[in-house]
Amino acid sequence: MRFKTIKAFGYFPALLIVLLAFPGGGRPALAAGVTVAVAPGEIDVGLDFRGQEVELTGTVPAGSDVFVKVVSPARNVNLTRKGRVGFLWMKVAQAEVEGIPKMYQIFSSRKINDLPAELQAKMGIDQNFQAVRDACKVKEISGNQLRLLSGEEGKEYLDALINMYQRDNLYAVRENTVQKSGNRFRVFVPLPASVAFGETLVSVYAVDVANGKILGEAKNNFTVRPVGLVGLERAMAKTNGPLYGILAIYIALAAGLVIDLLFNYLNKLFRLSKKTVPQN
Amino acid sequence: MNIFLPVAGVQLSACLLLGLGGMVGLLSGLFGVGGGFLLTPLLMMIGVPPAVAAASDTNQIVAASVSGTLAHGRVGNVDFKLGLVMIVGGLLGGTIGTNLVRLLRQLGNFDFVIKIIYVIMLLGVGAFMFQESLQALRKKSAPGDAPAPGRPGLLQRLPLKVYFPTSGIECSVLALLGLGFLIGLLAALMGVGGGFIMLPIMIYLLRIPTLKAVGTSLFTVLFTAINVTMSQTLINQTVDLLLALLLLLGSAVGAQVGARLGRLLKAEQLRIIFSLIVLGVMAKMVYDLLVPPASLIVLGGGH
Repeated sequence: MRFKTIKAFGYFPALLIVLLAFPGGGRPALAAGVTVAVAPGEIDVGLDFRGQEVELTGTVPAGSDVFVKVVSPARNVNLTRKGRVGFLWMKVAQAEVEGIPKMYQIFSSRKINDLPAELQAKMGIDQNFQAVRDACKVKEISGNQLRLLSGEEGKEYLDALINMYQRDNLYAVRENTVQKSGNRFRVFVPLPASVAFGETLVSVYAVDVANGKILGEAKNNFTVRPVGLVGLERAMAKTNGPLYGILAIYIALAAGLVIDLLFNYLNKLFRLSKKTVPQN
Repeated sequence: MNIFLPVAGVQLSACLLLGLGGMVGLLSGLFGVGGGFLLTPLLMMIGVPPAVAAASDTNQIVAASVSGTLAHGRVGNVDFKLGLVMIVGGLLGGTIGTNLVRLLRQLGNFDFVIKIIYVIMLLGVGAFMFQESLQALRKKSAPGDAPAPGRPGLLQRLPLKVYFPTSGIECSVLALLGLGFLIGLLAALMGVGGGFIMLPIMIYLLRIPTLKAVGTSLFTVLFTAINVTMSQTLINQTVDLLLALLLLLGSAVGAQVGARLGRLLKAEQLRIIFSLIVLGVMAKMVYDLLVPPASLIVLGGGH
């Protein structure tokens, strides 16, 4: 903490000198900074939601390469594992993966493997989503035993879950998708229909790949929120279980009743017309 | 027309959901079963998370069974009195069964044993019904109902005999409670609704005419479905109301069509189709048990 403060104070005079040397917000000075803007900042998920694109724009030092990660809030996911019992395939264990984001997308202006491993780890940007794997815990319940799985044991569950997310385009590594022009960059983040709700964090890194140095970083976020009927239903299901259950049952009962009345009415109508035809 | 389903968190075609509901409702109306065995895997196949699929599917059964019960009831094919007695036994059996599951799970190998028992039971019931109805069809006996009368068994010898005018049978209330209890217990142990077990028991053990057995079975399914929907929302909050609404509109219509279609078919024809469905479900279970699954790890929840 103390070290950081000293470091910050150390940079401050330098920054001041740069700013004074180039008054009027001169281009070269700001070029050293990294900024990122998100549009739109709020994604409304209603009944007609079919996925959406989010545009990220900003500045990076000219000549640097851009690496972006977009990460949704971490949550817990339950999984089931099948295995052989005798000669049959059955459910043999359940597991809970704790603290895994539903969305983790990576964008870059250059191949990720060009980055030194150390930088990949530092930024949480690699082909294998190692940062996600390192951050989450896998608990397995098999029979009566609950145990925390170590890296290698938990890998099987994480592989399966990350594969599922990759198929849904929630996890992706999209190399060479960041467009650069001078010190400006632009990238589109495609949010699939099976979107992750909540405050999604956007991190942008400007990297001097040749020298293996991060020149600067910027963070921003956008919120994916359920609106209208989607919001109402999600809120009710989460906060008011019993009322929600009763409502669900009443709706089902009413629907069954109404459909029956409708059919009965149609039936009578049909029979009536059948009877009247010969009389005429 | 695609819509976003709030709790399931996926986007699906409304027409597809209405259609799936309609198809399962048709089976409910025809055979007095809930149809969860069919709909839950289908929903999972089109991308609904297992837990949401199972819970929303149960809510759909509520609508299908109301609609179907009323349709059957209008032509006097529901024995409400007999149904109620069996429901009392069924709820009791279901409650004890759920607790028993918890106990037996701790012994290990529970799922293995129960799966095998379930497969054998489906095979037995399906094969017996198929053979019986095939014979009846060949004979083309005029009344077409009431499978060959056997000797008066234990059911007739128990005390507290009551006459059930709708079904036209006289039976001990104790026996009915016991059978209801057994069905509830088995359903809870196997994690199924119980319609599959109910219909054969009503037709062959209680000797209720096939169409009336279908109507009455549907009436009892209604209560099981309400019970399960309620506990699902309390524990998991996984019913997707919008998904359920589309399914249940379809299935309520399907159940009406099924109930009417059932009257056009001969009782033996109904029984033989039902037995083929039972055998089909069994074959699917055997397939799932024997063939290595495409992915060993899947999202949790479901039946």
